[in-house]
Amino acid sequence: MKSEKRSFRRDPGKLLSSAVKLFFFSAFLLLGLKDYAWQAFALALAVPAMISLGVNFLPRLFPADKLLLSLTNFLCALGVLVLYATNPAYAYQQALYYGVGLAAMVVCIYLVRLIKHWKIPVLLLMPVSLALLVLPLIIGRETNGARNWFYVGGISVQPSEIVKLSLLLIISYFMSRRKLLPWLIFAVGCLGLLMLQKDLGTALMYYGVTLMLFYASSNNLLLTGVGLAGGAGAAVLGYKLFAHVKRRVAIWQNPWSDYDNAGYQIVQSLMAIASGGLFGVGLGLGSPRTIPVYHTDFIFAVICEQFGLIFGLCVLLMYVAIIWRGATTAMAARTSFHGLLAMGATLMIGLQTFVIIGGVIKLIPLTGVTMPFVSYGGTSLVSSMCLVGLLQGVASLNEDDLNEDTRLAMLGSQEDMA
Amino acid sequence: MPENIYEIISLGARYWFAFLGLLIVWRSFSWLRKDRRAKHRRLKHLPDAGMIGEMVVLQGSDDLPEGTAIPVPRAGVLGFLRTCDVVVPVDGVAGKHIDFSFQDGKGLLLFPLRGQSCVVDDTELTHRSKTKKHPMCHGSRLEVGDAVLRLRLFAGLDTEYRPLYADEQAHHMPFQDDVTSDWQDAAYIYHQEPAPWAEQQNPWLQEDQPYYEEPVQQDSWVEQPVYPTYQQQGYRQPYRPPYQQPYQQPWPQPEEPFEPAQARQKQSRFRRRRSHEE
Repeated sequence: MKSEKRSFRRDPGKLLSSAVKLFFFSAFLLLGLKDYAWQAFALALAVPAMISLGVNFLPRLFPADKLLLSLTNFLCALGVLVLYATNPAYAYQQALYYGVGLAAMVVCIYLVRLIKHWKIPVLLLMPVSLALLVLPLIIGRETNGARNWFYVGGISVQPSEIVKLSLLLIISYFMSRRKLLPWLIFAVGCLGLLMLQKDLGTALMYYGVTLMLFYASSNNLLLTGVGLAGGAGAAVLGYKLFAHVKRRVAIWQNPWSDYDNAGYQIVQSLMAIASGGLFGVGLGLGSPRTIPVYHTDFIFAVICEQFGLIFGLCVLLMYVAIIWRGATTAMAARTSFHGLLAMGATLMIGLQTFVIIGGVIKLIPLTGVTMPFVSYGGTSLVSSMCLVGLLQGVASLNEDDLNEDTRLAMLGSQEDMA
Repeated sequence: MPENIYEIISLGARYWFAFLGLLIVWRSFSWLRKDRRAKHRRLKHLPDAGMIGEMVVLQGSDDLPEGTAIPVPRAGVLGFLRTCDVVVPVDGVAGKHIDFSFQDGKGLLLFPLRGQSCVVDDTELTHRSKTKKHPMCHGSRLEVGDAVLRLRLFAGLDTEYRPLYADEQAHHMPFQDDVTSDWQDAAYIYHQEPAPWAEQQNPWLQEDQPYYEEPVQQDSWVEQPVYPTYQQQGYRQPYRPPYQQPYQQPWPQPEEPFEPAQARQKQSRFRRRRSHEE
């Protein structure tokens, strides 16, 4: 009994997941007390159950990384919580997609673990993903100035979120095989299609991840610098050519110049963050719905308003921990394909977080991407979970390799003794 | 619930949430730190983790003496720069000379960088040649610049089977030249245990002294820790075929021990000479 208790105290997985479960139980309980809605009490039980399913049950299937699981589960559940506090209808859908995302993550882990030869899947993925990117141009509808959605049976799908995964697979496959042309053509094609969709934020992310992966695989500082200079040149050209880019930069420089029209979003977000202060206005209080797109792009402002700057900083540090873990996984990977895949997934999550949170706190000009795991949006949540699934797959392979090494070492020592 | 009461509870709860957020961050970072330490500790006992084998230097330089074994990772770069994965500080080797990666079922594939070349088992490779047709397998020989290296793969790796240099393998047999050494040595080589008469010939070994002393469990009421023996801690051994097994003589060493590394001289690329013809 005593030893069991001690092991609980020492097991960092149980420590972390118990804190996470306690957080969501108390938060949903508090929201339930507000108007005695049974949905909140149900979520107060369901979300910790989902977390324990994700953190305690999944690692029994394969050697998964529990830290990564706990943190991603925390962020996903945080999204559900904040959405419930602002608009419960969104929260139910998000909770549904959270479950779908967990399943998709397991599928991705098994794909990475089971597929040994990636040539045929990658070759199949290339035309499929390009076709997916073309679809919104043909049957899509324009929302918020970008034509990056299409609708299938009442469900809106954002193909650039799905293509993110295949981009990583394709790029890391061809880079690890030291073939330049296929991935270059594919990446340029993707960027061109995204430009046609006017989805500049996603294009920026694709470009950044491709460039950084190129540097990681080739260690060629010169060509990376050339690529960076090309990107900067394209940015300057875009600034000169397109009026809306110019307007965005002007708003970023001084949102107060046009605070009730073009700069409304940023001004509202900054005011929300400021009104939250260090500890927030309190969960379920304040007026988070005055921020324009509070459920997707500006969800970080809502978090800061409700829970305060200290908690916002904690959320940022959780992303840092995820990135740290991902980079460690990538460095420990045994084959260059898996290393690049893990690095790419990490970079994708990190860059997306940086771009959106930097935009929300007026560090960089605002571009419309979602905050991974937290923002409302089924495709975004599922694709982020899939990214973590790829990362988890590589981590579990690393663990397997290390176990195999240990086994071989024991074998060698036994042979010596015999 | 009345709004004013909810407000008070919620205002109080925000400190609880901030505390939990800080706790979660603290626990995850301490977990990261713990994991890092545990991994270092584990890898300290597995010096060969992630390595597929080693390159033994047959001909090197002052910085890289002959007989050195350089561990080879699964993929990386060979060159004289310290940042390379396999560092060969020998004349004629470029800063980054060869890009290599191990492919299961095939062997170690070499991709010489632009303008560089190397010789694998008498086949010259440049960055234009079809290098995937000439993988290195266990016992393969690599000439880079003035250096000559031999690849030793660890056991359990899946590679192509290619017989390499029957003459050299024969040369590696211990006491192959020493024709007078009789069947007693052969018996030792095949049975991998000291011959019964070796024990008697060893002047250092006393009659009553065992080869290896087992750690004795002390007879006391305090529970004694059981330490793993050195061999149980385990170092992965490179695979050596029987004819390359390190042969430790139970009797005092002769003055000039057999050293295959010294026997390897720089050889012509076009004609291989047998060492016993020289």
